[in-house]
Amino acid sequence: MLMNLYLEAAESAYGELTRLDQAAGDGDYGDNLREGLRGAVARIPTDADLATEFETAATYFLDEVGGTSGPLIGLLFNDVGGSLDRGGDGDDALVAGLAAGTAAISRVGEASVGDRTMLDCLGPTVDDLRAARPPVDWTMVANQAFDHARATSDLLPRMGRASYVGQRAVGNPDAGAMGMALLFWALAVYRDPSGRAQLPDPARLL
Amino acid sequence: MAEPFYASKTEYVDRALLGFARDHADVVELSTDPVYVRSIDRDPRRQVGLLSGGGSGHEPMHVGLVGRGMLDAAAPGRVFASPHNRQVYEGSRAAAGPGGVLHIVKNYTGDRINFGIAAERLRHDGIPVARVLVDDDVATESQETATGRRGTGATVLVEKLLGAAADRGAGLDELVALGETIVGRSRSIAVASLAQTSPVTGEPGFDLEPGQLEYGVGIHGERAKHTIARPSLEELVARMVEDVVSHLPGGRSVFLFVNGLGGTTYIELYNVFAETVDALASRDIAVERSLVGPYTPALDMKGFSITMTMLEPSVETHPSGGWTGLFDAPAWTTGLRK
Repeated sequence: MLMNLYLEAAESAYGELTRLDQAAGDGDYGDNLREGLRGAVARIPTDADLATEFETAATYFLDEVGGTSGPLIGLLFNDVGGSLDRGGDGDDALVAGLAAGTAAISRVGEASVGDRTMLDCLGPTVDDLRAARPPVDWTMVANQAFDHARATSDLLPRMGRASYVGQRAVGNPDAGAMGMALLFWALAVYRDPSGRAQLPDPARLL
Repeated sequence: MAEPFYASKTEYVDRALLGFARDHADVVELSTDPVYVRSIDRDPRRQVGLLSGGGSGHEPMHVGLVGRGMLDAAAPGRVFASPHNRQVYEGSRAAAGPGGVLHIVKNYTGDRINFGIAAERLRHDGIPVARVLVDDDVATESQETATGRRGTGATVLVEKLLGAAADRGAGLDELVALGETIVGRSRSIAVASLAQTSPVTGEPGFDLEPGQLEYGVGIHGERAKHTIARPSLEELVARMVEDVVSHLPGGRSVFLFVNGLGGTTYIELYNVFAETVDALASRDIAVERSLVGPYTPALDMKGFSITMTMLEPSVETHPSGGWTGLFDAPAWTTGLRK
């Protein structure tokens, strides 16, 4: 199950995510991501297809998870689930859903790439996916996603709660962007378990 | 210290909503999971449902403006806090007409994001949805921040006028265009002489010396940028009228809304109103229609706000009756009836 893998990554990274969010926000990012994934995994039927996994997780994140990031992750899952439901669970529908969800987060959060948010991982990684020739090399994509998330260290926050601390956030990556890199970690292990050793260890993000 | 009369320290908004729905069972019905209030009657010509919402503590806005002629539903948050996206989403599904649903949103970051998430969910379900953002408070006009002006009293006028337009069968695009034009021609300013009582502590939200006024106060107990020595009411109103009119497009006639912030009597509000009418007359601006009362309070704050909507002669002479016709159209809500 994909969401089991994402939960495994979020559990491993919990301490780092919390520390990153404490430096810039209110420190609840790790809790929200972990609690959301725990709730989603508990509700996903064992025989669920990928579309059902995303749709079940979407409802849980949208309805039950606190903070602003929780419902925004729910929006992403909602679009991925819808796309997979319509187009099957191949890479084309997956990439289309990730692109639609990224656009939705940008619209709702009224933020863009460069504002030091989760979009700074999602946006460029979706671009990588669109530019890649099939079949998608998910291990490579996930490694690029971590690079994009780490690059937020240099960005000044303009949106979200981190904007209140301004310059003091610079030097560490954005927790929300790192949380999205973990989604690509899970997708990579889900699609190609043999590539796992070539991915960063979620317990040692920095 | 004046502790509020609440049945519970935590569930007082839910308890009040139960009482409200019981009292007004002929106008509204209450959903409790998630919490929203819905009109039990609507004009059969209405194609687009109207939903608003926001923090509680501003009653009758918004649940008291639900009913035929105005809102189809409202999603109330906790005191001064945005509603959850699920309240807006489920309330919108209940309120939507064949032409979709329009969200009337006051400009606060939490409201924008939660209504935005709900809108995405509605689009995902195939329900047409659009937003009118109300940002009328001139005290928060600043080049320094990206957050923009707060949404305050003009919301009541927007909900009245758009409700009437929706009852004439206006579609979603038409309502958005009308709403944005009304917002663009509406501005407000508020003052307070005493803060609201915190529902948690029972203490005033902020301290103010006798003889001082918060000039440009918010409706959530946000302090103003300026604390001023209290002038005469005539001088105070003249300054407020100047601040509002100078942020409006030119014109000769307005809708005037004098709003109580919760701890202000009608005698005071009508003193303010009379002074405001005179101040406008001296500027050769006529008051075409008016509304006076505590429609957008901040709990029990002692103060008032002045909102004006500048009318356009070309619109008012239109055979449809213009915005004045929309203002006068029938409405049957618990807080506002015409």
